[in-house]
Amino acid sequence: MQQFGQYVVTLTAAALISGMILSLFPEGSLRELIRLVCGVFLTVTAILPLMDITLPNLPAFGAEYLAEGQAAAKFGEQMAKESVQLRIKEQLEAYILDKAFQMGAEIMADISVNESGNPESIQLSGEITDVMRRQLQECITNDLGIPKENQQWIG
Amino acid sequence: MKLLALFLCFSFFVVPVSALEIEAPQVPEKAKIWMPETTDSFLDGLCELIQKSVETIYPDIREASSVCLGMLAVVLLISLLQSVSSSVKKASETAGTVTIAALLLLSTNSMIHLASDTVLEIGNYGKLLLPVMTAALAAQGGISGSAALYAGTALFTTLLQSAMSNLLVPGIYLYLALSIGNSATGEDLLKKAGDLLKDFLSWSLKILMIIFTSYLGLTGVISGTTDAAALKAAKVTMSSFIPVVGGILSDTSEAVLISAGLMKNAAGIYGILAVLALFLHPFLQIGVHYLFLKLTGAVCTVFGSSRITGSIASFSSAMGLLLGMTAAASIMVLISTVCFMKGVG
Repeated sequence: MQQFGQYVVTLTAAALISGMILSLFPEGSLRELIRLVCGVFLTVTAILPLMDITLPNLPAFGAEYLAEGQAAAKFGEQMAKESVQLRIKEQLEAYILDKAFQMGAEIMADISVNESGNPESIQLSGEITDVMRRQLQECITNDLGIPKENQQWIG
Repeated sequence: MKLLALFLCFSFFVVPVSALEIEAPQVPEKAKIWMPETTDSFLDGLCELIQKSVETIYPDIREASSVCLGMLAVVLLISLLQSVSSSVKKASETAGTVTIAALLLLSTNSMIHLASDTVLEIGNYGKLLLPVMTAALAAQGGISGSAALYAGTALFTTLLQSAMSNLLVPGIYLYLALSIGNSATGEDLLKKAGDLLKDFLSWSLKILMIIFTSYLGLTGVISGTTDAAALKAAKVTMSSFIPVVGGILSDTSEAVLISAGLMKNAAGIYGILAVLALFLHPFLQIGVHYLFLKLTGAVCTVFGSSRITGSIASFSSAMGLLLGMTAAASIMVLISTVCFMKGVG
């Protein structure tokens, strides 16, 4: 853009100089000669820089911005994923605590969810009878899809 | 390295990790006085912004009118001189053109600086707003669309800023030099070169805007459809999970999408108002000078010589170009923000 701008500035400046020089001469054969010289000068000024002009590498320029855009989009996607994971974790834990409360038990639950928001494992703690524990294990396996080997009881 | 800097930049404006929180960057200090008190309602904010800008434009009206009255006096004086003695016609026209140029160059110069500063500030604010809107749209499911919108807007904003400093501003100064030269000497070559340069500058702006809007339109349709299909497929997959988990997953994703959409719209409205706060007052200032110059040019045509009125017309054309540049810069950011707000599909 800088090179192109310079070209336009040079060409216009040449036209300005030619116009100013021409205005100094009254109508006549000398003016016609000067007009010819100015015409040649303007043509040379217009054509010569064109040989050196290099076009900007727009695809590379665009690719750089696309990479920045993809980074920003990735960040937003990750932010949304983390938000979904957090909310799912909270809701599933609340679901299990509610089930336990209905059985008459008071426990603590900590669920781990994977990238796509599916529960992977659970850690449970609290005072609970064996019958209740088995019922709760069944419920966690059937409703949340967490296999028994990924259910860990503490205490 | 640049990507790392970009990530650091996001963390200032988007507070993430556990909570989905999207906020538009704060309006620059210079435009804070124009910013509306509340940005919840776009219409109320816009009305307040317009009111504030219009209320503070009176000093510029006074300044522009005093310059124009000075010009009218000069043109009237030259006409009187020419009617008394026709032998001083050429000398008086040259003197008149030089006086008009001297009267107008100061205000035109300050308007050129105002326009280039405004374009720069709008572009810089746009570069802060863009990542926020991109992240917000991606959080709503428009992953490929948001990246493409970001790339297009950032590329064209940079191109406009570069064109402004390397081509448009020097071009306006040269156009004025050519027009003053033509008015002072009556040389036809200068007039033709000036007209060519003016057409070139205005067409450059128009072409840039046409390519930009076409790009946004095409990107919106192509990427929007892809993202909408991907989102629909994800929803279908979620509902086929285990009943409880599938239901919770589906509801939660829906809730996150809705909250991302709400936050994106709030950030978008704030961003649009911030861009307008940066743009509106300078635009009105340049617009007032443009209108007064047009009016003076029209009045001077009645009694002034064509060369002198021609130089006034060229100054008003230069102001018109400045209006076009400032408007193009803000329209770029505004249109892209609206495209981000439109969302997926």
